[in-house]
Amino acid sequence: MFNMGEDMMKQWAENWEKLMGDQLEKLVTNEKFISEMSKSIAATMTGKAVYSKMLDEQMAAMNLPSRTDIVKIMQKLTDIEERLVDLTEKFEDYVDANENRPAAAAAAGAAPEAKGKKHKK
Amino acid sequence: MAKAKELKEMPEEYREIVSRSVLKSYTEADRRRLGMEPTRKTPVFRQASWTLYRCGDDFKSDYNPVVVVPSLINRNYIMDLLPTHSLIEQLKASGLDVFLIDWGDPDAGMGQCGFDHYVSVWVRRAIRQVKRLTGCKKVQLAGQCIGGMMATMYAAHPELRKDLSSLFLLTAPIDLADSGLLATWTGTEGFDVEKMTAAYQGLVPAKFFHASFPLLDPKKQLSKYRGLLENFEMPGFKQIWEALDIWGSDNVDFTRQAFIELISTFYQENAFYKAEYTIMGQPVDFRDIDIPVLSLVARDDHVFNEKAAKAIHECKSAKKGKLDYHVIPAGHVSLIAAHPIRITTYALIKEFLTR
Repeated sequence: MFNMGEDMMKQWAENWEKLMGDQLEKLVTNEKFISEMSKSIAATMTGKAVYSKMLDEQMAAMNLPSRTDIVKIMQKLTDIEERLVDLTEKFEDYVDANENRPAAAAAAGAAPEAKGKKHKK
Repeated sequence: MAKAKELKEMPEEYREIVSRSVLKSYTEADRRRLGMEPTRKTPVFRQASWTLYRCGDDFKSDYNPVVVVPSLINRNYIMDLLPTHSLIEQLKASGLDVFLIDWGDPDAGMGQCGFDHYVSVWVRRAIRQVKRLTGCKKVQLAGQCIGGMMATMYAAHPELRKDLSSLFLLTAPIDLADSGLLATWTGTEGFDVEKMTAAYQGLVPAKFFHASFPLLDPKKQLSKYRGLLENFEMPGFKQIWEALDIWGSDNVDFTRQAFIELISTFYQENAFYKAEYTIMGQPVDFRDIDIPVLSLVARDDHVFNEKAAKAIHECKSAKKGKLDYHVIPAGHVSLIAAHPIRITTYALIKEFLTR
């Protein structure tokens, strides 16, 4: 009975990988192929965007929020969170400055610290 | 004539691993079984989708703290993959106080956040927190892949750079012209990123752009499972293979603005290299970087070629002899996570960050 050995199987797999790999490499470096693929994806996505816009209009006609509306609200929330963290930082800086003020006054006149190594503290 | 070796039955465990990999059916239990992310991390600051973690239990250090900025495309645990295959573990063992940013999963509300926002607001905020927590006036900034590009922007900005005492770049691209297959694709006529992402509101899904990643190295993809089978009995091989596969399939959505900037501004216009990209309204030029820099580049990188990173030689630090530049004979992530050469990588990083 024919028994395909391990070496033969390995050789077959390597040959197949080389053949397929070479062809795929040619394909993904072929400028015409990439250009056509890019145009095709862009056309599909443009179509998807038009469909989404139509859905938005239908949702608006029914007085329902669309995905676009929800994304806008999420963007507002992101902006608000950003402002809040900004204010917190400003407040922290203010508190730090006030806490350090008496210490800074006491240290006035003391010799400045020697500069350390670039990486070291 | 020598008799051909009989074909061995594939081990049941191999079939299970391949099945999980093909179906991408990984769970938290798989991560625990492998012992992924061995270093303990404590969240110290959270905002939007991102979190700043302090790594390890012992925070005492004689050196300025290290802030690690990971890539935006994948998860940050590539830097803390498995015990003995972890950059973070090595940094902690070197006596460094390490902070790691986790970008998390951005939501659609963050869609207008581009690289300017990531660098000038979020990285700056992370560094501010680190300075407050540690009491240090300066930090050592480290960045991997696109995170390295962001770290370079930070170090190049005239105001922001005052926070840094050194810069460590890991496979970080700067000059994206002719930087490999991704540059070829994005430079092709008809590659219109605005049109391609027109249907996405806020976020560009990970599956959209990751679909093309296996085509960056088709031969490696085709031999992936054969390689696993051939090395199956090698101690530790299947664990690291599976951990890398889990990480490779754990992709993150991009904010639409960051995606458009990456393709259009950085790849197609090469604006960062040309010093045309602005952070907080000011153009940033990496040539102005004047602090000690360590740049590690992977020789067999399939994402960016060496030329993309080599541009760092044009900065002031290089001219003053403050640049350490090494090309490691490994791949994009294997230089820190898998390849035995990682030991050399760790030694170079330790030597630089503990100077």
